[in-house]
Amino acid sequence: MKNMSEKIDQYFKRQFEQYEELPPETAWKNISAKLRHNRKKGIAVLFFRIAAGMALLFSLGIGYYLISKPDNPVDAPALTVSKNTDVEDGFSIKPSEVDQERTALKPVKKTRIRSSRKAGPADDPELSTPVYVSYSDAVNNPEALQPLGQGLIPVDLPGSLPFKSLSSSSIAIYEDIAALLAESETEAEPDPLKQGRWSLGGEFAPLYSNRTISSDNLEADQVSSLNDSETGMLAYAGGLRLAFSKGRRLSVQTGIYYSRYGQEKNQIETFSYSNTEVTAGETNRATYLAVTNSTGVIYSNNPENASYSQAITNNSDSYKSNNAFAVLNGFNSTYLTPSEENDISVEQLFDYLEIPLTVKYKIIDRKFDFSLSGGLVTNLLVNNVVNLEQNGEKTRFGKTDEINQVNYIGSFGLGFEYPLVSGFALSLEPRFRYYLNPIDKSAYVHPYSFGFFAGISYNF
Amino acid sequence: MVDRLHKIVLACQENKPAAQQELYDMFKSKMFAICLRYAGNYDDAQDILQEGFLKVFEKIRQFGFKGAFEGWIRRIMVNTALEKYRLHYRQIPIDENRVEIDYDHENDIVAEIDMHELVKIIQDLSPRYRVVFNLYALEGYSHKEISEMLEITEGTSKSNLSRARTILQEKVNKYYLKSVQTS
Repeated sequence: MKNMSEKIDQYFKRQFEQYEELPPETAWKNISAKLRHNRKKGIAVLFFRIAAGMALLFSLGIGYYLISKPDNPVDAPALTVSKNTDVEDGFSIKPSEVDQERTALKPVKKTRIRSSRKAGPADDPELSTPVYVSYSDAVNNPEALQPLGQGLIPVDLPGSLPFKSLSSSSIAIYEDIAALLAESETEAEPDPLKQGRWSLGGEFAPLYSNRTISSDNLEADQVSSLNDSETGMLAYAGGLRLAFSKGRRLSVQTGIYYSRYGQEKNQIETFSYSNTEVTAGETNRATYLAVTNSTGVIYSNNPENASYSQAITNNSDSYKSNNAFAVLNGFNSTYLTPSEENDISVEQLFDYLEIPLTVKYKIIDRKFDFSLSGGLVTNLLVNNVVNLEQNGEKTRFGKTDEINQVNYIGSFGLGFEYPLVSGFALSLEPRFRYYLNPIDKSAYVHPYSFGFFAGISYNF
Repeated sequence: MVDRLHKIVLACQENKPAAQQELYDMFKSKMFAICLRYAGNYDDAQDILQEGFLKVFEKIRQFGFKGAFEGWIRRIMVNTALEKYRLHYRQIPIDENRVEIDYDHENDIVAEIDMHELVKIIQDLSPRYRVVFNLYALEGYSHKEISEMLEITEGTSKSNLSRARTILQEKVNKYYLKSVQTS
């Protein structure tokens, strides 16, 4: 017996050792078309990665800017008087003449204002000693400084500001200004928004999800047929949202969400195969579910408990061809009969974990806020299920294969926020989300969803 | 030839279309022959060939010239065929409603069968039998290796091989008898 087994092995091995067979010409055409498509896709992916990288850098940049921005950037202008004013004339200020607390104001960006000698008492050569006045003072308080210039030397200022040099008689006025500014400094209360604040909340949305089919590998009538037989369905998304804002308008948001996308496929056909004259090795009976779908390959992962031995899924060929029933040994189409029951539908569900990174900008900053938000969502497939619905009864049938595990979604929303009590706020945000990459490996399908995200958040 | 192949592979690693076509032309017939005996029919064999070559071009940068290129490309084809089997056929239980064959163990194989007929005979095997027979008899894998590849037990692999041999022997004999009667 062993000898016989070896003989048949050796016979086939010998026969196939030198065997070669020319494939059909269409094989190379299909391969080269796919290679061309992959090259284009490669360029698109590269472009997308660069765009995603830029979006990420932009978001991080804004986040960093908001966090690292110096406090109180529009501080009350500090008047700075140089201590290098030891000239004993009426035009310079000695430190002793002004209260130390007032003159030792916080230094700000100082612009050195050179006096230009033109007329009057300014002819005194001592005037060439520079007097330092903060530029912000000159810009922000030109009128307050105006009286200083009575009969004195005009100075050159960028932008021809009406600013003039100091006179000894104006020290008192200067003191008043300094006092006023010092007062305004002490009175200013720190704005919590400018120091940055966090917000933690949860939100949930019922979504309408559907998909677009974009591929140059499918004929227009195939796309049309798929669109006719597949419908979007109600899905959902929800999760925790963490936001950081510094300033009144801009904030960066992230979080963790769980979402579901799905589609329903109608026009399912079933086939029964019953070989009445079965011979050795041939299949006797089988029942098939034929699904022509756009998204991935449906397969049954539990055939022994399912009504159908297998799902045949594709998006181009006719499954009535013998090729679709290749698994049946000794297949003979005369034994194949379409089943009478055809009120079957299949739903493909995909569950994802999502990590968004979005930027939100408040257009209206009142009690009732209105804002725009946009960003990128990284989306990880955690579960996928195919359900079969027949005669109103839904059963789990299998899974969808050939689906990408990681996806990227572009998200855009219009947000409304209404404050409640003690830091709590209510939000409602209509949001449109579009999968930037195809979710199936055949690169046909880009899902999208639209929903109203309602949530509550706590600001701290 | 070897130098030429080396240059073509290097050019394919740079994704050059002309080199890709040359590589395909060089191996298409040998690889299609392999695909034909793993597939259930001609169209499936073409699918395996196409998917296999796409993988070859996708992964060709990983080829480090450490072994024979033909062996490398052949393994990709076989793995592609196995992936297709796992995807479409693994879940299908082998139909046990079979007619037992009255197998004459003393019969020897003397027939020289047309290769297309021989391919058809292998293709007519059930997917599991076909894959096991190919892997064991024609590729030289052990039952242990096959059991790991197909996620079955060694015992199942052995019994599948035995059934495949029986069916093949029967079909070859039948073909031989038919050809003798017609001649």
